Amino acid sequence: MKRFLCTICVFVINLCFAEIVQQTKYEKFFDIVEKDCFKFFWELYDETLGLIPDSSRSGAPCSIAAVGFGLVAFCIGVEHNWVDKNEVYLRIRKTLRTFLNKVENVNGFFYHFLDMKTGERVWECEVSTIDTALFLAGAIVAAEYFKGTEIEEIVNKIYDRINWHWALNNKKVLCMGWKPEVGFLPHYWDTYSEHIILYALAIGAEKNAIPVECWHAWRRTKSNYAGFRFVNCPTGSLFTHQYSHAYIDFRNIVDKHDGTDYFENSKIATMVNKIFCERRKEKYKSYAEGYWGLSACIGPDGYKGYGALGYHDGTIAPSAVGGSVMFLPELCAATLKSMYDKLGSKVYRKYGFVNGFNLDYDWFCDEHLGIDTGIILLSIENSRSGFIWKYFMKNKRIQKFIVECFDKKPTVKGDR
Amino acid sequence: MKTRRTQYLIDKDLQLRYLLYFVGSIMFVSIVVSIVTYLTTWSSVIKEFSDVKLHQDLTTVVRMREYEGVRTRTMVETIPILKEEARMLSKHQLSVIDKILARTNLRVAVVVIITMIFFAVWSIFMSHRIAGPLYRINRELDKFLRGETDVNFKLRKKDELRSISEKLQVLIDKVLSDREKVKLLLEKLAATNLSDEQRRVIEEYRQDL
Repeated sequence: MKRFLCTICVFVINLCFAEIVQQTKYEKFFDIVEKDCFKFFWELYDETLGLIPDSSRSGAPCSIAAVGFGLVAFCIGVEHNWVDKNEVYLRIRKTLRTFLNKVENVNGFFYHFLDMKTGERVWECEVSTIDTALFLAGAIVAAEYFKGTEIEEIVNKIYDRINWHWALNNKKVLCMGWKPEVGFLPHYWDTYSEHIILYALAIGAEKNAIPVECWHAWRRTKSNYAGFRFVNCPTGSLFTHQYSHAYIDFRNIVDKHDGTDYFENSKIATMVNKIFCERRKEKYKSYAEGYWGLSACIGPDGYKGYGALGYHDGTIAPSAVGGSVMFLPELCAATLKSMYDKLGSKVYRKYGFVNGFNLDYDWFCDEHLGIDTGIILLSIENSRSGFIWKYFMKNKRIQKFIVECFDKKPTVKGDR
Repeated sequence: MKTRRTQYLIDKDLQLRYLLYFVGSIMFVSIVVSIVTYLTTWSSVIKEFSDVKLHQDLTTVVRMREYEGVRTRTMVETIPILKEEARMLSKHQLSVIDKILARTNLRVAVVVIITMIFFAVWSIFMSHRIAGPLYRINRELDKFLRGETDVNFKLRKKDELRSISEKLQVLIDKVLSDREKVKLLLEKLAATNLSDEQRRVIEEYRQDL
């Protein structure tokens, strides 16, 4: 009996030790990855107007979505003691002042891409609703982090200035964008995608908010795969299950529209992405090596909307895996670590993981994209500390959206 | 009868010297402006249209279209030959050239203004070489006409009209000297046997002198 009890004790101790060892191993890896991702935003931040480029490639314009991720990255940097809080405050304030006073806006919405030095619209890009939302989401995290300061004041002004109604263009769903040359674009956020954050900000707004009916107007298209049924974007790109989720904490809430648990949904989407690649490992070398992660990224033939159940060619987006760490930490960390250990500097460079790689073509991207680097950073940070969720969900406008569009998750199955 | 000047190069030395000043100034300004324009425009153009920059711009414009394609889930052809990318690229380049020219025009305007201010000040110093002597000659002649005898037409080394001032000085000195001689003559005459009438006339002349 004594021997049996001793055996059990040793087994339990080993299990706990293994878990601690595993956690410790990934913690150090996460420290490295987070810091390198952070460096993208810190080092590429332009002092002139406080803008951040779309890509690490020289000559890239500013992406307002990358700026949003950058604002959060700076706050994360303070939490990890990588940078001084006052310096971060000054940087964020400069950026926000630029957006409040200098950058052109159309009914409060910003152009997608800006000149890094002048803040002017470039490349005939569109006024983008989703990118304005991604910028604003990052700004809200910064505002809550620096509560009671000028940063909060500026963010509130920028938020209140947006005329969300205008972006409906007399429809029930939000338009993707507008150009002075053609007017509203013929595309709308009417099917599940990365747009939940956009609707969150538009419905939660204190001024010019859109009606709650709009939340129910977009289609929650479903896919079936490997025995899973889940809400999915037609392209199957994993980023659509990540961007909104990096800010909104879906863990304990369900959609009032159809009861969807978006946190669990993203877990499923991640699993499907992995299984999809595993089932095709005979055809593609990247999958055969155990790598997975299909999402919009730069591939051998340019930037494409890769996705499970959609278009794919063996190109892996490390950000697809990194962006899902907050849903499935162990699984995703193991895959990322494998990429890091086996492929080394081919896929891991100055600012973390490169945007894409394809082993069939022996092709490795040589640049980092701001939005994809950002989602890796935010996802890992959320999985470790819930930092972004904590601050974003404090915002009263977001709380208004949650109350109007979500119910608390039932604690026992079958209660619904 | 009107007299017409037939010989315009009447004082070759003076006139050719001032010709050199004016022409030289204009040439200097033109050269400076040309150099600034050339360097400013070309250095910016070369930088903006270098192979590296063109490649960056081409990559960016193709990437913009790819982003749009992914977002709207439409296939976008990205062969930049007679396609939308080429149009966007050329429009971008035109706006770049526009900015370069605007920047150049501003710099040239600044250089021209500074140069003009410099030459305006310089021309005051140069013209003073004529204006100064004329003023001095006028003033001394006025003194002489008032009856003052301590007139001095001496000019500075670099002043113009020095030969005239020297001749004027000689003339005035001679007039003063001759006047003294006449005064002495009249005094000697007054000391001789003259009638009252004659003495009165001599005294009148002496008073005038």
